[in-house]
Amino acid sequence: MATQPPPVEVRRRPTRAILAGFGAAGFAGVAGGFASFTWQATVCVMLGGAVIVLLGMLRPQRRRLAPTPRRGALAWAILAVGFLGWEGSALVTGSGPSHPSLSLLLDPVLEPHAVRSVAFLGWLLGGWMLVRR
Amino acid sequence: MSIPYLTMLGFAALALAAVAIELAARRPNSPLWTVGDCLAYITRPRLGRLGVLLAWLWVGWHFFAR
Repeated sequence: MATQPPPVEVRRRPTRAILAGFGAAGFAGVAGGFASFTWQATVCVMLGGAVIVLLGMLRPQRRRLAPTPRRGALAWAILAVGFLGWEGSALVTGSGPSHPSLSLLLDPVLEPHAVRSVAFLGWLLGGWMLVRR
Repeated sequence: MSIPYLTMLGFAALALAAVAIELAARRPNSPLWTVGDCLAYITRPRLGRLGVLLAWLWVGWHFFAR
């Protein structure tokens, strides 16, 4: 009796994911070279953002149920109100040196090209993780 | 203490609180929700999903373009 050969494990090469990763890294490298308040920076953000938002709305969502009871989210709701209040008070007061907004505080940190590119890539990755949910 | 340092302390305190809540939520039998649980609840309706993505887009615009 002929014996069946053992099943061959087919490894799927994540070519698409690798290409997307390199593409995103390259795009972030270019986007990081543009300073704030330039049309190039706006275009890069809108372009990257549009891709992620489109993917997020077109991709079928994995139905993951949130636990109950909903009061488990209360801590996060309080934190969100606190952050919005703190950031909002900075914006309302003109985001000056006396009470800067978070973006004003991070401006010197995000000035170098490399840091800005890494942060931009992190932002894209965050968007992708939201889409993958 | 000058006000910018107070502002930075405020943001740092908020960040630390977020980490503390997340760690507490990940403990066994914790009544707290993790960030993932919150996102699962908010993004369940299509409109919620769009809202979260637009909020993410706003963050990018605010830090990199504005």
